Formats: sequence, structure tokens, C-alpha cells
Amino acid sequence: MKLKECFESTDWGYVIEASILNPLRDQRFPERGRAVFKVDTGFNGPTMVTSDIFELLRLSDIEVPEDMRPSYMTLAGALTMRSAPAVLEIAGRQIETDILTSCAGPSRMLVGFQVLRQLNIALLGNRACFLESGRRN
Amino acid sequence: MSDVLLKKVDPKLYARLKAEAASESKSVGEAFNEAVRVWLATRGARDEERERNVEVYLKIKQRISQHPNDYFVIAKGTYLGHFRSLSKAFTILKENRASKALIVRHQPSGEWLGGSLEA
Repeated sequence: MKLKECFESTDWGYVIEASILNPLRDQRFPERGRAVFKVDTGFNGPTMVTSDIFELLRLSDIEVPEDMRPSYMTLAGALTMRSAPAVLEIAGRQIETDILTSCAGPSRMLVGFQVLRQLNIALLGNRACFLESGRRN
Repeated sequence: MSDVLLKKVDPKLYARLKAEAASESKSVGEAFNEAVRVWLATRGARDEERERNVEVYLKIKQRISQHPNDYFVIAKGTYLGHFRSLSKAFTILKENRASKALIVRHQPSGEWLGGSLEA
């Protein structure tokens, strides 16, 4: 197992770094470098951002109609999400994914299971590490 | 014109609507149409282009579930096709010089249990 890049969280849990691209507007967040996302295996959706980042990326221009919004069951009930397709740039790859933000209630910067399953990633102690590609069966 | 049965209408609001309509020699249906037009016009977040796109989406909605892996693309009030990759969908939109669009793919709902939700 060869580690490619590791990230250490400053608080609890695990984090990784990535950026998001809205290809229609060539709008990227962050404009330079990468942002920190929580690794959330308890969220079986794709990627979530806060509503201000959703607007900054102008994803509201391409978001799905209201009746197509996905909802996620939480311990406090169903949470409906706004959703728009975009590209997640992570671990040297571009992953086509849906970017979500909650209509009401909590939003976080996090990467969920739908994206994590496409990555070669290891949780080692307090670090989340990308592995060299080709190691995952 | 459609005949629509509405449920859970506030009786006081309905009585006022009926009285106001009668005072202007209008039917309740005409007053209702007028009120809905105003309500829709004041919804700032919605613009006309998105409304046109949503109208097209509603017409092709059933087809979307038949192709769960495809991205259906609508822009400028026109259905532009469905594509297996998102990059192809964006390419089509750029070729059509669209600045707003609906890119719709069937999205399953899911769970968000524990994890970051608790922080």
C-alpha cells in the first residue's frame, strides 16, 4: 500500500481536500487550491456544500427541479436537498457528481459514500490518505 | 380552462375572494387566476427561462425514469437530448450558448445517519 497524499483534521473526524467545478460557467471553488471536506461514510449521498458555496458556484442556474430534489433520512426526519450536477476534482481525478445543499437545516462541506466508493482512500489513525491508483480491486 | 377541485382552502380567504370578485363582477375562477398570476410573478427566485425549462421537463419527466443513468438536458425552453456523460451534457449546453439549464438525472434518495450531522 503506497500513500499518495494524507490530510489531518484539526478537529474530530477525517478530512480530504478537493475543489468543485461548474463546467457551464467555468466557475471553480475555491478559485485556487483546494477546500477541506469532511469524509462522511454515514452520508450515502454524493457531495454536500453550504448554500453560500452552492450559490457562489452558480449551481442554482442548473439545479434540478423541485420535484426531483433528493431527500435523505436523518435521525430527525427527512431532509430535502437542492441538487445540481458538477465536477469534483479530487485526488488528481475529475469525478462527475451531484452537488447538494440542504433547503433548510444543516449543510456541511462533506464528501459522502457515493464519491468515497470511487476513491482509493484509507483512514490511518487520525489521517485520511489517498492511495496510489491501481491498488483497489 | 380547467375545472379544479381545491382542498383545504381557508373558508375566510375563500369568502373574501368571492366577495372581492363579485364586487368587480368577476367569477371566483377569474379572481383566482389573477391572484395566481400575481403570486407567480412575485416569486423572485424564478425567472422566465427556468419556468420554460421546467415546463419542458414536466412534459418529458416520465422518460427520465426510463433512462436512470442518463442526463436529460433542457435549455432555452428546448429539450436538447439525453446523454450518458455529464461532460457531453455540458458540451451540448456550451454549443447552444446556454447560461441556464436543467440537467436532470434520476436521483435516488438516501440516508444521512450520524457522521458530520452531529457536529
